[in-house]
Amino acid sequence: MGFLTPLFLIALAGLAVPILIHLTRQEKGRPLGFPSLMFLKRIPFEETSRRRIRHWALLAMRLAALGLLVAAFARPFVRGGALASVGGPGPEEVVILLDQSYSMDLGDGWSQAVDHAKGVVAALRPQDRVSLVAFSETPRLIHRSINDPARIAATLDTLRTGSLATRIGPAIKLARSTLAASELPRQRVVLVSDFQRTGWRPDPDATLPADVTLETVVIGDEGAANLALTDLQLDRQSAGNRERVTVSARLINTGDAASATDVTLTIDDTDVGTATVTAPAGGAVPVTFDPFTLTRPFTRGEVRLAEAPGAGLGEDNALHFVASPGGDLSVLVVDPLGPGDSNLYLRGALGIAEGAGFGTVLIRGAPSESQLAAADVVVLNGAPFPGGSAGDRLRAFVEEGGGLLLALGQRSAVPSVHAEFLPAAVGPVTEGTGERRLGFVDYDHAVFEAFMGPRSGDFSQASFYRTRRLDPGDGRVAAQFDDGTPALVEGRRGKGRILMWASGLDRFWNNLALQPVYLPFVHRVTRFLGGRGEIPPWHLAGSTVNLSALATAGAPLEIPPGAVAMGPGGGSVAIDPSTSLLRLESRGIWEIRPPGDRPENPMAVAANVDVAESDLARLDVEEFVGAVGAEPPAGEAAGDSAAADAGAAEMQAFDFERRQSFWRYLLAAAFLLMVSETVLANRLSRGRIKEELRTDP
Amino acid sequence: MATSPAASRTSFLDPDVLGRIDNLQLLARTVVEGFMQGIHRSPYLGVSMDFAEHRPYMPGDDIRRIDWRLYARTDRFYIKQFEAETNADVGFLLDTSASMGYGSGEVTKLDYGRFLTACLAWFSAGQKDRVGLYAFDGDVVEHVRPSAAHLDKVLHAVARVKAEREGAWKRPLARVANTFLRRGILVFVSDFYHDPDDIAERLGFFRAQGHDVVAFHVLDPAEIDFPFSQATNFQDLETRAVLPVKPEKYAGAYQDQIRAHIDALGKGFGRHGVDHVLLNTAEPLDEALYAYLVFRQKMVRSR
Repeated sequence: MGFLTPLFLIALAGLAVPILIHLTRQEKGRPLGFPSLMFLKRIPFEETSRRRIRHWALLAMRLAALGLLVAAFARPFVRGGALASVGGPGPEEVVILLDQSYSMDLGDGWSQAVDHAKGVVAALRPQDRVSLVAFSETPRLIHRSINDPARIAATLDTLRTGSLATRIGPAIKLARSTLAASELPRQRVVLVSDFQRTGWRPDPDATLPADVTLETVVIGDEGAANLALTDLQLDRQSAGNRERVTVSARLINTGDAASATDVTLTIDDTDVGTATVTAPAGGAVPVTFDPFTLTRPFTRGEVRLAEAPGAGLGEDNALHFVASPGGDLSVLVVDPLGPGDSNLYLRGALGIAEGAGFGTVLIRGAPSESQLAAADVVVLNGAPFPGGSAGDRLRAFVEEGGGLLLALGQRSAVPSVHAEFLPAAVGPVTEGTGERRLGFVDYDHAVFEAFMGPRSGDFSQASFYRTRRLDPGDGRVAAQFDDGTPALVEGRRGKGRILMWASGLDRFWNNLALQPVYLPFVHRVTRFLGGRGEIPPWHLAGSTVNLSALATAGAPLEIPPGAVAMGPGGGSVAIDPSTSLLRLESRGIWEIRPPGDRPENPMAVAANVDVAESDLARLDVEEFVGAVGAEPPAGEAAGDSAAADAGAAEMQAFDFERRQSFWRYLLAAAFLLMVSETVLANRLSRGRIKEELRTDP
Repeated sequence: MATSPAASRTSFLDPDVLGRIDNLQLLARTVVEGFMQGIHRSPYLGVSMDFAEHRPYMPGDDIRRIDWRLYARTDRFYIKQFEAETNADVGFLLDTSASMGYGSGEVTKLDYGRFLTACLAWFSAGQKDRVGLYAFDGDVVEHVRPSAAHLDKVLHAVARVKAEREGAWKRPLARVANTFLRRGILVFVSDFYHDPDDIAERLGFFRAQGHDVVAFHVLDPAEIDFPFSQATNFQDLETRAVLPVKPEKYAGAYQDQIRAHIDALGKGFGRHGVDHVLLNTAEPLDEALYAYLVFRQKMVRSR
């Protein structure tokens, strides 16, 4: 509790006045003139009674009234506690944004954050309402506009930091939408965070209305040292039927001093190597372990730092991965011309691969049943779609999960009975007036996903001279020529996939085969059709993975109904078999188990933290508040000087006093006390007179 | 509308009515004549209509006043004395101390004393008495030497006085004793807030000097009844002292005290041959006038 004008408290010395008056006062009113007082007894108040306080209640009321008056002029206020919520201009809607990212776990930052949030809740007045939002990469509205401090405090006790990074923008958006639903006249957002620079990107939508007060609570120490592991890579090398994997990572040191530490590689809970590295101050050092043989699917690995005092954050001290030995895809190439220039580049591309490769078989005619049974992918390289039973077998092959690529050429044709089976109708040869190029590539498609980034592949350099016209039916156009005609159409039939490429894979109709993107393009097309997308050894914590897209070495993975994902912390998450999606909320190894079963080597997915969160560099809070556009709280002033702090404290005190306005209540109470004192004094006086008359007639 | 004589008389003697008459001379004449008509008595007691007594002839006496019939029977010269010859100096001593300024109604004790003095002076002048005035508080503030022609002066002086200062008896009475030398009548108009024995002794001194002394004891009804109810600070009009008083508790005691004081005054005056007339300012002047009339007749008869 404080006073805005404490000098007024000196007036408390005036409390002695009522006592003196009580002891020394004369009869009330103007004296009444009388000819002579020689007959009057002058004994209205005995001396002893004047010196004795008869009515303590009266005296207490007078003293209390005077004390209240003085206190009102001193303008008291309360900074915390239940009384801090008393008074004020109106109810307030408060949204607490609590940063739950793993960087908040540095030191006692999290406990500070929780304590401050509890303080905000405790200071609420009965008419105020509060919403609690915990956020990291995504915000989570835990309580919406309630007034139950105990409940919110209990919730705060259950919250822990996660494995995700800070993203302030979405939290601000959620706060704004929450406040927009409130009708309370005053609104405030309390943002409790370590304000990492990486957690905020200016966003026009992540703003607050000008009349919303944004109170920022900065947690943690900006200059704290931290060691973090990042850039985990698995380098696979085929060695006969075995696969050798070399694990490497980088150790980052954000501290001001070099730090030496041990880094250990663990494979399936067994330490297989330890490297002692020294990370320079503010620098990074690579860590590479000896290769190990990948023998079984879902092999789990971990690279971790030895526990060190300067390791800082714990979440970024370990990296996890899951690796499975890859098998060759069996590709059946049907080319009526037989081995030759028409499939030279295709065969060459399929013959080159790191790790799991492709087993290519070239045939001239329609594939037999046995050939289809051994194949994962069939490529009709300028060959017509077989008719009759061969065509039926091919359709059955696709529907059962096989992949089919139609690289259209001069001889490509489709029997009418199978025309509807394909995702696009094959039209005539189109020969333009000049060369054409790919004008649109759908980088969201699994085939082109790897080419999304800059300098990762340029399809626009390829020239196309002749193509077959494709009229897509229910197929998805993944690429188009610059004249708008489809270049690549994808369709799914049963469990299998079909891709129709409007031009050849040789260099007769185009020069794609001479472009750097040809090799990865062919590989990705083949792997896509074979149901073997690239299996990343780890995912970012917080990301969502499609489990069905993951594949074992032998066949596409099937998620049994009722399967659950066991998190690193021991909790389980039910998996919806229709989507097979799993959000990796925390770092570590996630196991996917069939219901009621504990397989020895279950399917697993690794999740690692976003190393960007390890960068503890702090955001300029003032700049942030300005970007958000909210009103900073009164009295919140930047500056490290004592004068600035004192000014800020004074402003804060002024704001407290202005909002609480206790002086009004004190004045009212003093007035009531005075009225009560008057009434009581009159009654006591009358009663005393009557009593005296009775006792002394 | 006819007015009964009693009502008419009362209205002329009512202090509240008199209080509204500014002309003290008119007031006195109206009161005295009205009073005398009401009692059907001639106001001219001093006119030589009635024989009073004989006294031996002294050289210098007017020979026209020799009673020759008595000389014929006794062969001695006697002078006839008539009532008119009993006319005397009448000194009015009006107390103007601050206590006389008190009045619970419209008329203060000083006003009442003023009316009374004026009326008695008028009355006495009508008797061919020589009227004089001593208005005093702690000292004599107005002095009109007794004379048959000083009625107007007396009335004017009475009209001027104000009750302002603390009163005392020693100095004024000393001055009266030094200036009122001829035997006469001393009329005291006061509230007599003084020690009864002392005041009676002082007035008895004048009686011993051969003066006839009458003391009109003027009190306000509030001084007699003490009708106050609430605890109040009472302030002495003379000493200005303030005393907190609870009337409910002490009214009875006060009444006892004032009655004892009045009784003591009456007894003290009686011992010294001073007539004591208690007057209530709420009552008409009848009693005072009648008392003075009786006193004057008694005085004439006693000569």
